[in-house]
Amino acid sequence: MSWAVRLAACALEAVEREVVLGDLAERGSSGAHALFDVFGLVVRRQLLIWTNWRPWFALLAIAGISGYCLNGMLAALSIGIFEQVEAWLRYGVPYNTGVTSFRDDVIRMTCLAVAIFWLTAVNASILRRLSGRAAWLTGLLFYLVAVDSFAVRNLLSGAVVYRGNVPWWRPIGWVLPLNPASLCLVVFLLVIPGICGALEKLPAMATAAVLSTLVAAFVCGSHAHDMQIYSNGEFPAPSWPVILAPYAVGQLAGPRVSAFPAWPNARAGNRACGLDRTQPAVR
Amino acid sequence: MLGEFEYLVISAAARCGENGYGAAIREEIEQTTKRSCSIGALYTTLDRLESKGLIKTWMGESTAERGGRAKRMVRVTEKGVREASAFYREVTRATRGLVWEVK
Repeated sequence: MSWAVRLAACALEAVEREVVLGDLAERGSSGAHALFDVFGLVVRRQLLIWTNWRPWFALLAIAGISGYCLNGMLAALSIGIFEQVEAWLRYGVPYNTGVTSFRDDVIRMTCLAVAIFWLTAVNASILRRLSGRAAWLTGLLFYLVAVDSFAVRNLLSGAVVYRGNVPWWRPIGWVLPLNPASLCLVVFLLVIPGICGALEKLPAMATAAVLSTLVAAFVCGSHAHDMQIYSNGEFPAPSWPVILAPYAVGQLAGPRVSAFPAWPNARAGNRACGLDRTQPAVR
Repeated sequence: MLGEFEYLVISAAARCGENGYGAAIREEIEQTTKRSCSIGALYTTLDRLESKGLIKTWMGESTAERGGRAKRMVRVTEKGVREASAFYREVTRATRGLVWEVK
């Protein structure tokens, strides 16, 4: 039996793989016919998964909504880091907004990084449980949305326009962050926690959910507070009880529910960074 | 009511008796219908029939001709026999008095 057939059969569960490869060996099937047979079964198995509501929910809630929110948080963090690094390299001083201190900025960015790490881990864990054997697809879409939805949204909204000849590798750079800084962010805040979460390698995922929620709430509150200052009070920052209420409800409902707290965070984060076009830019 | 292919699979499994397993059932279907039967169609149908309680499957012994790999043995349950019998009666009743000839 060819290596291609055995490789295709890897997409099947172990027991079924053994039975199918045994059947093919008994019939003496090999080559393209055997490969077509195995692919047919793999495709049918994958399609059957989508007759259940769970992978659809994973696709919409985790890959779609949570991925988009994580993307907003990741964008806020990368911009914050970029500002600091650029200020250090160009002027040898820390970037200062004039409103918050350098120490506050570093604390906020650290909290944001921790929140992204834990939210990714928790979401990946839930994604795998809901998706089952379709986890490879929903996981891939979760990654793509978390990494690229900001860039795609900018392109679609016209905020970023490419003129002239776009290098052939540019689209690859959206999917796979090629520069070292983006690569570090994606690897350490998305890929590693994502894989650990999917494999349930992180201890006490419930604790992670609580921690991520609290950190995310802190970040959200900080950004909202900044926004209130920057906009001279035009943007009313929600009070802490209002910010924390959904998270408290989420915690009462269980760690799985609390894995979706990122929407208001991302909105507030985007506003604070001037990335949300529906709100006044603040920088 | 059973589908056409489900009926074919149950019939083939019943004909194989105690020696019913994936490859044997597939062979039986192909010989009976003179059509090819894909592994995908066979195993997804076996799963569906088992979830309906019409057949029972279990892992059988491995043989040398299968490269030491196990078989998925299949046996038709009483409910499966009743359903297949009902399907056969329905088809027989529906076609009673008809002569299929192309004029």
